[in-house]
Amino acid sequence: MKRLLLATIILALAMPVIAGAPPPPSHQQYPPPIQLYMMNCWGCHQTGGEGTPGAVPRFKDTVGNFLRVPGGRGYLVEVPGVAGSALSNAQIAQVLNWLLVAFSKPQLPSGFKPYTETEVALYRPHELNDIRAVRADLVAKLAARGIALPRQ
Amino acid sequence: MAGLVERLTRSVAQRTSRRSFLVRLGKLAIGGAMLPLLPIDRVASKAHAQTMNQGHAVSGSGEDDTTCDYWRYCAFDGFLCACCGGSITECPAGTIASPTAWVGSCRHPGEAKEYIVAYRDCCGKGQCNRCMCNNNQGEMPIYRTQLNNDLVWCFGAKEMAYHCTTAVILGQKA
Repeated sequence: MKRLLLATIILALAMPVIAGAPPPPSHQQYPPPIQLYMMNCWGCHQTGGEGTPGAVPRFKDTVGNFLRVPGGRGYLVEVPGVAGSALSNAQIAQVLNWLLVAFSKPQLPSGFKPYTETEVALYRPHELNDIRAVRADLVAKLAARGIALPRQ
Repeated sequence: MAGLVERLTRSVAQRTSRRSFLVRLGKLAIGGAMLPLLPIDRVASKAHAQTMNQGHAVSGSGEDDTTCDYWRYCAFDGFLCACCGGSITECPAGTIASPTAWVGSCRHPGEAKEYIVAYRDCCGKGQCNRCMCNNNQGEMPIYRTQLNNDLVWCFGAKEMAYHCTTAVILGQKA
């Protein structure tokens, strides 16, 4: 809970950056998972995990749902932005575990198990040749459970 | 001279029609209009980085945010918005800040600390062509797109035309 609170405070502090207000030089130091997010994911997925409709998938109140259907857990590692990133398997596990809780805790299945370095190593080499079809399949599986997600 | 011009004109007129001229002119106009929309248009600009500086020294004091060696521009690639009617943190009037940004980190020379910097493109208007800087510290090859700065980072914006780039500090690197 403390971790989530800290993340919320940090994200709230970073909001003026998104809103376009000229911020003073910030001395804010981020804990390791948030720094990984800022350096590798933030540029597209944004401060609150909002993404950009039609261009960048949303994390906020969304991403945790993927862990509710078969194939979804691997999908979050196999997507090009993650699998093709410059991050190590341990770093991927770290940033995924952080963002799932920070942006989408209510959507996580009960008994959520954090990713491990070994698990990321297992999923990461699997290439998604048709990512749209894979996502559409996962979205359809979620829709069958009454969970609506954007197709992109 | 007049005879030569007349012969040339007649020769061209015999080989071409007004319609073909208009078609070619149209292609040229459309091609020209499409150029700013191409996803990668900074590569060509690199060769002109020095000449496009228009009065601003490439080697400055490191404290002037209209020069390429200002510390916050260590991973910069593009035109400085500070030279284009905007500022280091704000897009010029008539442009739109892209919802996506390229993120790098730069060392503050005075503090000897590393800061996380967001390079956000201002889009929706043709290239500014002032203060072209190409520092690119920490950049990866084009096939690692999320860490490559040759791309125009206007995706997600309504207009893909690239104008200039801002450099906003996000925080201090641990």
